[in-house]
Amino acid sequence: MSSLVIEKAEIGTPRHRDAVSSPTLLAAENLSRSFVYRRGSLLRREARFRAVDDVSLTLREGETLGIVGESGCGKSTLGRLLSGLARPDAGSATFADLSLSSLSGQAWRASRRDIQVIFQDTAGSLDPRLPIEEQVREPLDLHAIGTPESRVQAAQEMLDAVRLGRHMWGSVPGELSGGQQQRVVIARALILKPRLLVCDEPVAALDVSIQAQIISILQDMRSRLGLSMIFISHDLGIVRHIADHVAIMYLGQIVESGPSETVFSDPAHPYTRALISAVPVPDPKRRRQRRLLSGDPPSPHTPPPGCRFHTRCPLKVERCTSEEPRLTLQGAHGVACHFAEVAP
Amino acid sequence: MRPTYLLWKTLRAILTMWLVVTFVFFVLRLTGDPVAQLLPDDVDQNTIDFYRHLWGLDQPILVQYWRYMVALTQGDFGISFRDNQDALQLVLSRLPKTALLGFVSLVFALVFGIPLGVIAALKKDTAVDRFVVGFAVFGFSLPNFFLGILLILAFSLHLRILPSSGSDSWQHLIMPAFTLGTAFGAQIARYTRSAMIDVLNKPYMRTAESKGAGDLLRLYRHALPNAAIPLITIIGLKMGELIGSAVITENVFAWPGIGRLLTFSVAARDLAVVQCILMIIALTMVVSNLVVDILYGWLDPRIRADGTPEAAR
Repeated sequence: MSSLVIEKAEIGTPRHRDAVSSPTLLAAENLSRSFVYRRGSLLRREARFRAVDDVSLTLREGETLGIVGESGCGKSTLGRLLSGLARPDAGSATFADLSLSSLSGQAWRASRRDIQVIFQDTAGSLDPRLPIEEQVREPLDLHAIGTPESRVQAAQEMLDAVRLGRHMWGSVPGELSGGQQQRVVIARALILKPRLLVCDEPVAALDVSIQAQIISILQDMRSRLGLSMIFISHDLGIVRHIADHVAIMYLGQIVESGPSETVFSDPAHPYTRALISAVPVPDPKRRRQRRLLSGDPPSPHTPPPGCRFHTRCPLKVERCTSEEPRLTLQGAHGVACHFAEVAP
Repeated sequence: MRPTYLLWKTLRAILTMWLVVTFVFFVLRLTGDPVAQLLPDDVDQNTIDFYRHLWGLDQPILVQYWRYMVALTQGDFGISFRDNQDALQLVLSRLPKTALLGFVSLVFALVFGIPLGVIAALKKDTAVDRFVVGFAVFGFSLPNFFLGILLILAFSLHLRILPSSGSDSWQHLIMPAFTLGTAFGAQIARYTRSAMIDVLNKPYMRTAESKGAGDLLRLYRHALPNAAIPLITIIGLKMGELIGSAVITENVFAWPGIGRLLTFSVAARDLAVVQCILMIIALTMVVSNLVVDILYGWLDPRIRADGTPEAAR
C-alpha cells in the first residue's frame, strides 16, 4: 500500500506563486485502474493488469505537479484518471468538491470547463479538416460561452497569446509544423480558462529547441491564468524545470514524491537515483557516477512480489522480495523503500 | 481548384474513353460476323455481300475503325442493324428508365447503408454490429438474379402484391430497386462501418470528448465529415458499377432500360448499339470518378488543388 498526501505546511513555496496555503484543487485517493490484456473464455480466466495501482496524491491551487516514469509505468492512465477522462476501478479523484469518478452526462461535460488536457499525440489530436481558428473556438461554442462575435475574438486572442500569427488562423493542421500544432493544442485547451491543465508528454515529440519554446509558452500561460498543472513526462530535466512537486512512478505505483528541489537534489529511492544519474550533463569535465539499472522493467502483467523494484534494485535484500514497502513521509518527502532512511 | 488540374483530369477521362471505344470496337468484331447472325441461313451470297457492303463490313478492319472514329467525332454512333434506327437515339430512349432505377436504388442504398454502418461502428463488437455485418455480407454475396427471383416468387407469385415485370407504375420499380439497392447498400454499410471505426479511434475524437462535446455533436461535427472522405471515393466508384450491375436486374424484371437492350443487342451482334451502350457505361464511370476527384479536393483540405496530398509535397 502506498499512499501520498502532500501536506500544505510541508510544501516549499511554489515558484510561480506565493500561495503557501492555497486550497486543495485535486485530491486522488487510492486510485486504481486495471485493463484486460487477455480476454476470458470458457476455458481461460480473463487476465488483467493494474496500470495504476493504489495511487494517492494532492494538487493545490496554482501548483504544478510533475509525474515521471518510464514508458508503460502508468503515467498516462494516471493522467486520464486525474482529468476525469477515465474512471477508476477503485479509489476516487475529487476536483474542487466534484467527485470526478461519479460525474455523468451533463455534469461531466460541464466539468470540462475547468479541466483540460493536452494529449501526447499532437498532430492526431487535431481534426485534420477544420481550420485551426475554428478548432480553438469550438470549446466556447460547445459550452455556449459569450456571443458568437466574442468567441471569435477570444479565439483570435488566444492564438495571438500562443504566438500564432494571423496568416495561420485559416490553416488546417496539416499545413503547420509540429511546434505550431502544439501551440494550437495549447490554445484549444486554455480557451476555456480551465483551473487545471493536464499535460501528457506535451513536448516528447518535438525538437529540443521547440520544446523550450512550448515550455515557455506553458509557463507564461500558467502565470497569466493562474493555472494548476499536472505535467506528465519522462524527461527529468523538463519536469525539474517546470514542476513544484514531483511524483516518480514505477509499475503503476508512486515510489517517491515531494517538492522538486528535494527529490532532485536528494533522491531517496534507488529508482529515482538511477533515473537522475542517467540524465546527461552537458559538461565534459564533470565526471559522474552513473547508476545503471540492469534489465528492463518487469512486465506490468505480472508485477514482482514484495517491492516491485527489487528485480533491478542494487540494494535488494531478502525482505524486499516478500514485503511491499509503503510510501512513508518525512516531511513532504515520501519514499516507498525499506532502505529509505539508511540509503546513502 | 486550379484550371490546369481540371483540364488534366478531363484529358485523362477522354483518353480512357478512347481506350474503351477502341477495345470494344475490336473485340466485338472478333466475336463473329453480325450479318450471319441477322440473316436466315438460306440467303444467297449476293444478299450477304450486299449487307456486308452496306454496313461497311467488307472493308479492312482498320478502315472500319477509322470510319467509325471519324463518324464518332461528328456525333454519329452508327445505326442499329436490327431496326435501322439511329443507335444513339435508340439507346437514349431507353436511358431514362435505367437512370430512374439507378437513382432510386442509390437513394435506397445510401439511406439504409450509411446509418447501418454508423450504428455498427458505434456499437462495435456487440450483437447489433454483428447483425449489421452479417446482413451486409448476405446482401452483397447474394447474386442479383437470385435475390430478384426470390422476390418475384414471394411477392408476385405467392403474395401477388407486386408486378413481376415491366415498368408501368411505381409498384414496378419496388422490386428491381430493392434488388439493386440491397447489394449496393450492403457494401456502403460495410465501408461506412470501417471508415467510422477508423475515425472514431483517432485522437481528435478523444480531444473532442475532452472539450466537452456530446455524443451527437462529436458524431456529426468530427466523425462523419472525416469518415465521409474515404466513403465518397468508394460510393463514387461504385456508382459507375451500378449501371453495369443494372444489366442483370433489368433482365430479371424485364425492366426496359439500357441493360435489357444490351443483352438483346449482344445476342444479335448489333454492333453499333452495343458500342453505344458500353460507351455510356464507361462514361458514367469516368464522370463519377471525375466528380469524386473534384469533391475530394473540396471535402478534404489536406488534398490541395493540384491533387497531391499534403505529405507528398
